[in-house]
Amino acid sequence: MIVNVLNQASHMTIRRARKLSFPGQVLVNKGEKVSPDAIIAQGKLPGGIMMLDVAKGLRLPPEEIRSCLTRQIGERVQEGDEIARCEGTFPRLVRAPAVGQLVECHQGNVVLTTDEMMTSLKAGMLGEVEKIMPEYGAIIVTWGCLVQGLWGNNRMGSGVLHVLESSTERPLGILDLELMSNGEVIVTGVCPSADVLEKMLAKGISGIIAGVCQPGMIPVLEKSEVPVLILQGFGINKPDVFTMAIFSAHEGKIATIDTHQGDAFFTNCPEVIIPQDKGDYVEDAPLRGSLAIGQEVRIFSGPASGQAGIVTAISETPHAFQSGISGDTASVYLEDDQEVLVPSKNLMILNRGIRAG
Amino acid sequence: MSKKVPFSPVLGLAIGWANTHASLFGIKENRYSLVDCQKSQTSLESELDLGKGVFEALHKLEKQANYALIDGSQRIIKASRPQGKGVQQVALTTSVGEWPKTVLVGLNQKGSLRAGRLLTESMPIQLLGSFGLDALDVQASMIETVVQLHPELFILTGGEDGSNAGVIQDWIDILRITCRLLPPSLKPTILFAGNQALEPNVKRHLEPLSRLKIVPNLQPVVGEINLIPAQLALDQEIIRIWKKKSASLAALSFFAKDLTGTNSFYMGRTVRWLARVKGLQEDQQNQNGILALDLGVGTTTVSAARGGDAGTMMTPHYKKRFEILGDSTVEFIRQCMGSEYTQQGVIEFLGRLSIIPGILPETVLELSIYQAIVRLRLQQALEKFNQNYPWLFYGPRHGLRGGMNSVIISGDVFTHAPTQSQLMMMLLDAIQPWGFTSFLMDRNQLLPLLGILGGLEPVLPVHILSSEAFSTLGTVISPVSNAHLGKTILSLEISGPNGILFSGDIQQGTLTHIDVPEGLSAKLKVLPKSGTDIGLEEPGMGGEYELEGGGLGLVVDARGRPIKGAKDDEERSFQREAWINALEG
Repeated sequence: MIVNVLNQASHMTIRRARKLSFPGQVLVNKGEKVSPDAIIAQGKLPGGIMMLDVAKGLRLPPEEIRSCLTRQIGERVQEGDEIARCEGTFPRLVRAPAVGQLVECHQGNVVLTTDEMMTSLKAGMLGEVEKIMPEYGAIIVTWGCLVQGLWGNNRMGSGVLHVLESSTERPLGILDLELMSNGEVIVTGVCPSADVLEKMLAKGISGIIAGVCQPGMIPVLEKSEVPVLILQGFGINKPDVFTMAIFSAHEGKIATIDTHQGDAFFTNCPEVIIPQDKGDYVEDAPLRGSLAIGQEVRIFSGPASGQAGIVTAISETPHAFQSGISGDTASVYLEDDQEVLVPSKNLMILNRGIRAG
Repeated sequence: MSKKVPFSPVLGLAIGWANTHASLFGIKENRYSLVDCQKSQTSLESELDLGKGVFEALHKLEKQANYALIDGSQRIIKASRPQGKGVQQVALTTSVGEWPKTVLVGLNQKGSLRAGRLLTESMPIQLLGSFGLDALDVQASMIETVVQLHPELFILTGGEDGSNAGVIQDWIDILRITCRLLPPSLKPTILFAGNQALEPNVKRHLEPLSRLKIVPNLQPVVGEINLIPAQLALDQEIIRIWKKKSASLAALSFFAKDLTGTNSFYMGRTVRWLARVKGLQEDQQNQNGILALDLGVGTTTVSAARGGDAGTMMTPHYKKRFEILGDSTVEFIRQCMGSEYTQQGVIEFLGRLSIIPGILPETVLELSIYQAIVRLRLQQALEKFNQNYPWLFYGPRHGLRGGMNSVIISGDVFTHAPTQSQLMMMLLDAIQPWGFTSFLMDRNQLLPLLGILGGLEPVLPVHILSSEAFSTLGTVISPVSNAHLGKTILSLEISGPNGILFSGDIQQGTLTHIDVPEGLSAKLKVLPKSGTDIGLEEPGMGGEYELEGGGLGLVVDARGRPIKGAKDDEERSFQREAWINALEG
């Protein structure tokens, strides 16, 4: 059974490819240290398109324009440069209205591109350039803590980690704002309400990491200008103690957040990286993996939903659950010494990572 | 007991976002038959590696059919002639891949752009924008927009044959400039499906710059739309793009040679073909079409054909998985669930479903929420289809008023339903059929495979569709009447070879299940009261019909259209339980 995997560990070797969708220029070198805002590569596409009505300017039929061009298509021109001229009793000429490049002549118009649309690719993490992908980007490697979550608002950022406890019964309130400072990434159990969030943003926080969230907050979080990452999902009451403990252990350190949301098939997922000293750590696991005995998992259905435990058995013999639906099963040993039988496909592997060797 | 594999085996692979099905077809007593079918979870590992899931399904199939399909190097054994192992042909359909980014340009919203949108919504492509005549007023900004969007596919349509040449020429010029500006790796494939008189111009200006496909005009004359040639060209192009992004798909496709395509296109082909065959078999009066519904984890696909009309429509969920957490979904679920509903329970489950779209409902409560979502998805998909193809005559208020001879369902959501009664309830509530409808289940995702294999061997789908490869869920009669609740609106008599199986009256507001055993061919006599419409020429008209047994047999849904649930939550729960009991009885 192949299920989704979440990496949530204090020590890992983390590699991320940063790649342009079209060829451009790579701006870093192998071995170079990069910060989250460092530009890895840049690609340019032509922009600022201008259609110059040369036929009208020269008062000639469109089909005669090509022979009147005094500059070649493809050539760069400066503002005021002559680009077309017609001789005769009343000679006329057309000049370039701006700096740019002539790209085409059609139907009496000359097309001039005056600008470039730049696509810049940021590192999005603190790390080291391990490999260059010529013209496209680079692979960056870092060592440290990696915590992946289940929902993000498609933003990137970084800041100093600050853990503030909260629960469904006691969510973050106005009084907690006093504890926050500009540039901090706030880690909390339950996503704050819309009005508290607004005040947090006004305080200049640079990111929010929350265990759980009410679905009604999604539209608000989507509009937030700072990255927001939800670790466990929506509507679940109890934040995960283990993950919160990882953040507590790293309080005060710089964390980079990439909350770009993958699709339903887990091609990527939002994550937080807290860099540490280089070490001999295992690599983060791919986002889909085979379920195996001994793995730690989170359960997403039934009475044990939301709980984490260890897989003690896996069976492909269909079992009929209370709903009447049959499916492959896994036995999961929970933290409270209970063992439950759950549908294998409703599990997510939690890769806690261990030191290699 | 192992099955004997007959001559000329053909292997079909249907790869969906959740499951991979491997089907082995052979010839038995001079007819093609389904030897066996096995499924595995689609692997979807890094870079959309599908290999693991495919080989797992093939290994299961080898074991079950007791027939060698894979060699020691993990390759499908190809046999040019029967030799006791391997297959002569492989066919592959898939829906797994990032939907290619597409821009559509044409003339006006109600004409060519409408035809273009029907095309794009029938295929797994992501429409970034559609532009008409007004965009030509600002050519410079149009070029800039397209450069910025840099689509993988560019569909150019418009101009009935022989008209609007000037406007289309403007689009050709814009495209030509755009292609000059884009770097080679971003040049789109251009599909020209417009005024055919411009074909030489299109070729001259665009072929040297980008990959070009020319197909017949989507709308050669006003009101006449033909999407099929463009769909076929897009199907090939989508597969080409997906193969570039997935090495495993490219490798599997190598075995299948030309028989690789998208699930949606070939599902549509089979549905069109089936409707045509049915139309030939039956008189015009009863010829009211085929509807296929594939409710996948990633996409809902609806395909329907009736008479000369046909259409396919895809609704993707895989990019919008958090939308189900909206208030309208929760309210719909509340209406379906009645007193079982708790807001916290529903929101928690929806939250989990948004994270694991292929979740298996474990508890009765989860199942109840899940089945409500299935109803909602079906309704939404049918409504959307009806907007594009009004001949379907569907609306959540009145149901499927146009009627359909057969409804074929596929997808885990259906095949996993714990009982046939629950499945039938979901379908009846969402579709609300009129007249006579047979419900069939495609457990093995055969419909698209038959579409693609029919191109190679036309008799294969004929033989498979008339075999037991598709299981019968039941036949439904939906009489519609204005009579008061409890009034008799219809009389029925069902007789088999050994005499009368059922004889009785049907009352307004009831749901009745009459068992007709598997394999039995029965005679059904329907006598509606005056004013009761059973989908024939006029209300009150009845007749005698052949009835095939199997599944739930015959279901008479006399609950009216629309189906009205009680206002009180508790009462609605009792009502629902009574309906389920009626189907299970």
